[in-house]
Amino acid sequence: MTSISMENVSKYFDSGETIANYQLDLEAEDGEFLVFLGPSGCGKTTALRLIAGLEQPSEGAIYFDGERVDGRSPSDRNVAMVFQNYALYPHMTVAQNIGYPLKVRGVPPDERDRRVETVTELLHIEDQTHKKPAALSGGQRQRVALARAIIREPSVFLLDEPLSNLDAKLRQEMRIELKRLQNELDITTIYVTHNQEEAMSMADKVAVMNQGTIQQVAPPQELYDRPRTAWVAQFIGSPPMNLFRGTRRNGSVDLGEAGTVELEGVMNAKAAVETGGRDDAGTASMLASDVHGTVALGVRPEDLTVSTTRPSSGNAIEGTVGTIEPMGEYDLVNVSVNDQIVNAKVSEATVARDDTVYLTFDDEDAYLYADDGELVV
Amino acid sequence: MTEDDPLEPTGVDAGPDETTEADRYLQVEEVPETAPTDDRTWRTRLAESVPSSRRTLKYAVAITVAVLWIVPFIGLFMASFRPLSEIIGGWWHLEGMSITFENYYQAWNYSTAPLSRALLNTFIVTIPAVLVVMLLGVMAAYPFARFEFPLKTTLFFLILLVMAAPPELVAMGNYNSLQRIGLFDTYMGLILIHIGWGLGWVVLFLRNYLLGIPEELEEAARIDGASRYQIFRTIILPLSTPALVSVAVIQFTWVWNAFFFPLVFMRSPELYLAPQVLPLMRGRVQVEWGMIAAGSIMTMAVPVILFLLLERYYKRGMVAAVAD
Amino acid sequence: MSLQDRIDALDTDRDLSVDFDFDREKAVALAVFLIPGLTLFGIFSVGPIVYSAIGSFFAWDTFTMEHFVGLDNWIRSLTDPLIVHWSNMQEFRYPMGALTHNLLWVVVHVPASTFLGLGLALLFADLKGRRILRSMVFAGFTVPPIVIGLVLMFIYDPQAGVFNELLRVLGQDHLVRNWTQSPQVAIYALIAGGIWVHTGFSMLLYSSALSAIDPSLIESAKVDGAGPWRRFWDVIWPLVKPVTAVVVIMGIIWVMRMFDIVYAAGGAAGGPNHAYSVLGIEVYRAAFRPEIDYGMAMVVALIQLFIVAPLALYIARMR
Repeated sequence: MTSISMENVSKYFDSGETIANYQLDLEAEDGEFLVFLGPSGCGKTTALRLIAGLEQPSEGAIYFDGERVDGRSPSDRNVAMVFQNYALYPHMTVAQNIGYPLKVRGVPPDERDRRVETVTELLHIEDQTHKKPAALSGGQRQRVALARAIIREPSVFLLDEPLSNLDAKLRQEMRIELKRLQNELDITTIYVTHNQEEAMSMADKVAVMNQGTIQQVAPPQELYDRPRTAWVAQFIGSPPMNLFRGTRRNGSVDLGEAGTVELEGVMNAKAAVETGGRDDAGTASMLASDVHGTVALGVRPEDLTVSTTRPSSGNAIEGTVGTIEPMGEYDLVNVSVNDQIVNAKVSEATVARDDTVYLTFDDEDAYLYADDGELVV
Repeated sequence: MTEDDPLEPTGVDAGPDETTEADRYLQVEEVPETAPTDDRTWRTRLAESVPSSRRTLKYAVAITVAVLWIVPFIGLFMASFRPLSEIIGGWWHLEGMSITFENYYQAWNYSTAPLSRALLNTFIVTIPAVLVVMLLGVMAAYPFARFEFPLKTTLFFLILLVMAAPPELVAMGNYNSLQRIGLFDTYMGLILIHIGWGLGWVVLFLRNYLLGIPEELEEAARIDGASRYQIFRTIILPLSTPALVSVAVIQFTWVWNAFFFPLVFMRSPELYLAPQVLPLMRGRVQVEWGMIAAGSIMTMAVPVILFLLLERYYKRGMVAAVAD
Repeated sequence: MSLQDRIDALDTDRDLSVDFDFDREKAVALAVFLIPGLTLFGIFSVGPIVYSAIGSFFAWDTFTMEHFVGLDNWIRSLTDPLIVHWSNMQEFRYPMGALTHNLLWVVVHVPASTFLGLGLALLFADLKGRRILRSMVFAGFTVPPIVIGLVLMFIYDPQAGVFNELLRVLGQDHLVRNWTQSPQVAIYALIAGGIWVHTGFSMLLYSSALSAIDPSLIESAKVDGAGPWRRFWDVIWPLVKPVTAVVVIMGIIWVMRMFDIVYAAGGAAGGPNHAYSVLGIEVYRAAFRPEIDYGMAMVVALIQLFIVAPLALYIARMR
């Protein structure tokens, strides 16, 4: 129904003293479920409010279906929004709350009642319509807020951390419900959260934000497989990706006492994976012996293998076992490498505290980040 | 402007195909500390900082209203520094204005009851009346907030009744009892009247505040072996400081500004309080505007300055006293 | 009796004995905390009110209670033209009696200051520097009311008064007069002054109610498509409505206690020929100015209480 695009959108507060958003560039296609993901204070909510029209951009332009909408009021954009605290009008009943957007638009009462009935059935709250919001549980309030948002069939659906006030079980339930609704209604949806699990499970596309900028926009799987920067790598995945700091020297990464990692295999593996991604010249320049500098080698905990003997071939990183956390489904082994704690997820830990162990990984599971955090390989 | 330029990959080993990727995204370090304004002229910046016309109008109306609201006080202030002839001609005429402290001198040494003495009297009455009310008020409020005891509801009802009563209602009884115990026309008599009158609202106000202090704190102190009195002194009193400041400001303003009680209970001119002296200054033939203005400014300065200094406590207390 | 019951019984026994000690200790603590405050409160507030209530049924020789006279004082006071002046009321001519004047204050002053207070609270709500703006409007409420009365006299003075100057500037010279001393209009001039002072207080209460509204409710209404007018009527007004009851009742209490401003402008007589006297003034004159009539003073003060007490209890019940 509606595609959204943001071009170079910046938002400043306090007459320029604070930068909430800086040069955001983003496309959300028609019917897409786009998630803004980032830590608190990264500007994701401001970005959402810019799209809603509750804030106007300081610079840049916002388009709905190629039509410029910045400068317009929220009511002229046909957007619906669910607020973090639901923002239900405390003095109105559930039915009045849900019908309010229609009332404002002058929809006659009969039609209003009919449509309220439809959405309350869709969201399974038809029994609650005569209650005041204060009499509802958290999950029910959430559903009322959703009902109020979808009743007038908006062209864009905006959700600001809608699940953060619910307990874990309800959150899971509402996640499924939300995804179902979005599939059914096929409305372009922008969803803000700091919870990566929510983002990964629901999104068609995730925009990872940090300090007011977009770090990466990608479908969830790609975000996991190919985090563009060390920051994104550490933000996505639980526990976060391990980053081994080292120095590049002669086509390998020197990790000090923990050993060295040869880059050639890593390079070749990546080149093979990414068809047409990297040409030979690039690989060659990567391996050139005269390239120096500090780098970080990233390996996800689930891709590390822990063994007590040094493997005969391939790369291995030496460390000492600290604590072992049995998580039921897997064991988490904390290994101290050069005074840095790294995590390894293993199905069953066969090592003990203070053992000297060797961490190994497949070449294609390793990522190399330059000093500035950008992905090298 | 560097901010607007496409970003060249900064990593030494960035391959040629990295360019497209890095192009799409900004690095965190590239976000400036403050909005990049250098590329805009001061003219556009000024234009942007000026709010929309609707908002400008709102500001204009708001400021006009607020200024009009204090015009009478501006007039009073001007009049206090000008000779009577200029006041009668209109204090708003600024040409040929002469500034004089004569009014203040006259009010300070007013023959019937010098304001110097009256202001001192007001302090003598107000300060003990405020301090004692605070102490006795918080002591009485504590059981109301925490314990059950017989007659609690009745006492509560009596407090509400007294809060609703006009000060005139207690004047006759207090007049007779002060006469009987020999405290009529003394500082102590008026102080006691003010304490008895103020306790009602202070107890109610502090009780509401104390109800908001979590009981766990007291239970913890009790487990640590503190007695009720120690709990009161070391937990309740320090935690209720903000409310006590509110009580102090509001009660000070009330006692200082009070006119009816001193009018009834202070009869000797050397014991007159400042608000009592002001209406006497009107004179018989020509109203001495200058002297009245100077006296009013001196009298109102104390509560107004106190309000401006402790504005937050005053407003919060006022709202809590009536709305919570 | 099962073992468990025995243990329970033992426990209750122990609880009882503990409670007993506890009670003694608690009673002492209660006395220490309550008695000093309640004694003063009883002697100087509750006592005199009871004294007045009883005294209103007795005859008085100046300050001494004589004999029981039933409703004499009540009938005498309520038929006194100083309290309710029926014949003047029919002709709508002042003075109409202190009670009538007080009720007039309620009818004119309370709605006006409530409405203005809400208006100013809304006007200042989202402006920068609202704290200063609010303080400017509120400042008058912290000034001694006796000064307010004198300021009003000053404003309304025929020569030195800025209000009359304003009339002259507007070309309404025929209206220029000494407003506080003109019997038929003075009360309105004073009410205007009361509104001027009291609006700040109403505004303060409304401001705090407005700032307690979750901003996302207003934003939600914006997204739902409601314009400013609708946002006010559908969201803001219903949420500040409960405060209106408090504002109105506090306004009535303030007005019913009116004394200082009237005394400053009109002295103990309440204006020329009692033109704008109020109940408080009548109590003062009956009790402390010759001819002293303690009985009437008590009755009039009780009338003031009767009008206000149900309202105060209503606020208390709202909490």
